[in-house]
Amino acid sequence: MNRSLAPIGSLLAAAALTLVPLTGACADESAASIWALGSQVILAQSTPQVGDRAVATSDPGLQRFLTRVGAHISYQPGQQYIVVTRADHRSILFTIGEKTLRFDGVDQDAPFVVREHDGAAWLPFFALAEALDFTPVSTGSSIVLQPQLTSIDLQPDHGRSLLILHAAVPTHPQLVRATAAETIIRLPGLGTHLPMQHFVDAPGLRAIDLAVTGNPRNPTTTLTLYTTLHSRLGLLGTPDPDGVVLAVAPAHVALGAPPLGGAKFAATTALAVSRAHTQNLPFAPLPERGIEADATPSPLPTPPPVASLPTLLPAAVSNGSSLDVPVVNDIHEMPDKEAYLIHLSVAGQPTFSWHLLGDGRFYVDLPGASLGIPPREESVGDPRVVSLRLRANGTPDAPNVRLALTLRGTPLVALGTDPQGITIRVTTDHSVAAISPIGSGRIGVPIVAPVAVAAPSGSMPVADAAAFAPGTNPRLIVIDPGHGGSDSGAIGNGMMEKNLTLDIARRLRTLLVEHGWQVRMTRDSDVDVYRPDDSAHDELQARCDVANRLGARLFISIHINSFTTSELTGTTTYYYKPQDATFARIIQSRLIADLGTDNDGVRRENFYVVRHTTMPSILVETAFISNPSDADRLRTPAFRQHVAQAISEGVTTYTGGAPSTVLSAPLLPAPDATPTPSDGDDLLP
Amino acid sequence: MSVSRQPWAIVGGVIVAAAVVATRQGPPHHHPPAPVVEVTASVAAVPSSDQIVARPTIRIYATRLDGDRLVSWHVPIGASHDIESLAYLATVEALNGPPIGVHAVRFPPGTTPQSVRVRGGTVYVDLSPEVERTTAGGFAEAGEFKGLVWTLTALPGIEHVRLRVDGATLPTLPGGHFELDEPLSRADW
Repeated sequence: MNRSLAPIGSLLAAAALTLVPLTGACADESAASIWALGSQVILAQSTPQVGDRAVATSDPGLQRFLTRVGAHISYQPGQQYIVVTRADHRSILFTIGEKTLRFDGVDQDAPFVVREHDGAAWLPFFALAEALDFTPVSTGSSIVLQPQLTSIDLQPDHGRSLLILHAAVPTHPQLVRATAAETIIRLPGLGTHLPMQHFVDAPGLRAIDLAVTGNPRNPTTTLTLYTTLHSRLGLLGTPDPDGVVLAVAPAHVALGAPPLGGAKFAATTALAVSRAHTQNLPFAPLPERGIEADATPSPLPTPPPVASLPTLLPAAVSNGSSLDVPVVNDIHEMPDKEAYLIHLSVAGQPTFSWHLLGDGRFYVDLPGASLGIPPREESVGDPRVVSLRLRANGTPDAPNVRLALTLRGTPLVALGTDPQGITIRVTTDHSVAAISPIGSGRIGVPIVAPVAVAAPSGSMPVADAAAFAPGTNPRLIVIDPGHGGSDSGAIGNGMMEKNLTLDIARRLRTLLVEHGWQVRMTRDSDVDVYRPDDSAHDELQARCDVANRLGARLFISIHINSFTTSELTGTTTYYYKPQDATFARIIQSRLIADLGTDNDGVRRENFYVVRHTTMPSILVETAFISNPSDADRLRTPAFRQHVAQAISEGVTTYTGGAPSTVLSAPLLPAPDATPTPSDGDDLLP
Repeated sequence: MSVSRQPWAIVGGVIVAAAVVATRQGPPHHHPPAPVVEVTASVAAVPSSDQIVARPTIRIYATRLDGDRLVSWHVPIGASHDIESLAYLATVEALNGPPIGVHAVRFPPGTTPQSVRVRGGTVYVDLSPEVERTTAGGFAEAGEFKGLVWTLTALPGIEHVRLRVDGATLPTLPGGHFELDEPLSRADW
């Protein structure tokens, strides 16, 4: 159950900034420029209106602002609803013809009625900004949209306290000072209208102070936690991209989180909580807001009497930077007619590498570097670039910063470096010297003579047995190693799906051949079955064609599962045709008995290859490459051998025995070669 | 419980809880539900008063992480109840998924409907290309579309969903597993 932080009068209120929240009168200042997150928000399609500013949903400046704050807008002309989705997936709903803004199921009065005009809906911009947790603050000549720390939730949890912070943007808390009885953490870039002081009665925690310093454009909220003696603090992961979860544990309770205040977290070290990190940290059991129909809010407790607390302001707040490791500290995009330019500012001289993939993805890795700015993941409204993502994707022991672009069409990519960083040029100008698909360099050192790397090519010849009609090869089993060639499948924990599926398929082939089966693989190397960079339809149909044309008795597709977070584990066997359910159940039963993975069951799904093959067909999702535990299993040859063994045993059970004992059909031409799988096969990307 | 700068956010939950009880005891006294809308016990509260206003809602579904169960929530709707606008809103909400913190299968970030049309008992949804940016496997693909199909077929008169991606009919997502080029219905699960 949640606990409430009781708001009381603040002793620090006088020390806080005097901010002037924007009122209707301020918003009418049509000449005032609007600033947010250090950039000017230029609204080309907007007009002052009734204490706000009406902006068209098609306004590029609005789109850019929303992208920067992790939100996006959905509107289809002619329909009634406009939905702005925040980074935390909560919706802000406007309705054409209504003077209402609906957020979290609660209606608020909007400054004016939302109208449609010229194929766009016109929305109240400042009201929308507030619903996105940005407070408009007038500074005279300009209006600053100041991101806010909007809530602090306190949850008791197994003898400790979880302090759950939510802000308008990803938060980068910095530890200023930690003593036996208090910890000071600052949240740069955030203002807040929360009450400045809270007394709490929670494990390990006595009170919380908030203070705001800085100026409207660069505010800092400082959080002082008064703890019980020798309590410890740790940082937990959270799925909320704009959230931070701190664990506070009394001396006798397990903290269950990476501790703060140790040598690892020097007084000036940024804690660097970001969207990129959240998936690698244990999730706090956060409440499922608004989902459970029977969830009853806790009553607000009575505020305790005001007591004196020491007035505390951070005496020395450092900038949180460190030159010990290279830091990516800025990114600038400069699109123009000739090229889309990106400059990545890097402090230090790290090495970097780049990869240009056949599917239009391009990325630059800076191993050993840390990310000193908020991660970014956004669509790019450029004819040459679809999207941009900048994030820290390494581990604490092996940090890495990756800048990834998804390219539109087949533009050229050029890359240069200077002492301040890397410049990437994406252009359709073919006179530009493009880079090789793969290469590396060092910041500040000119890139010379990159070694060209041949793009993946070649495909495996498919059916060589057109003479075989469906159903005429009862001794034949087709094994389909999922993905391959230009399609890596899922990638996770240092492995690629296409390599794992091929390894397991080869092992299975060996076993089945030993049992007297003829085996055909849809691929026997790292290739596309149809052709490189083919369509999903051609690729998947080619796999089905192998089995259908050869008239195979069984079709077994081997895959490795994946998910967007690391929490899912287990093994699943899929089928589509109702008559294949028994085959799937038998295989799943053997897999679960032999592997020790979680049983995710047998499922009927509309999967292409099991639907478009004419014989009994299954698709095995062996384990989750995205889960560390499952990935550890997949990494071992013994596990992959167990997978093959289990499927082979399941085939024997399903068919009633080896084909040589139950069938007398003519043999196929020589089956595929059956090399022994190498335990040293490279599974890495 | 939370401390928030929006007073209504603090008290809203209480009002909602009270309103749920009130709604269960009798019909809402404002904005009676339109016949085309599945009305549930969910309500919205006016922040500045204790007045409770019941509103019609649509129900949105997402697939739980066990792959079998669905989580659902209600989205209050405005004055418009035309089926195409409702289908559009329902699609947007299903693509957005539940609030962060709810464990459910989610579409790739940024996936939006490029168009939603209703013809007879079928909703035609054209998804933005972001849906192709999945890094997940077959489990996630199936879960994503299960939630969307259940959401849209919860609308009155809707039985099937036909999907396109960036204007084109695709057999599957790139490198994917789940077949998209035929009408989908609840019977597919």
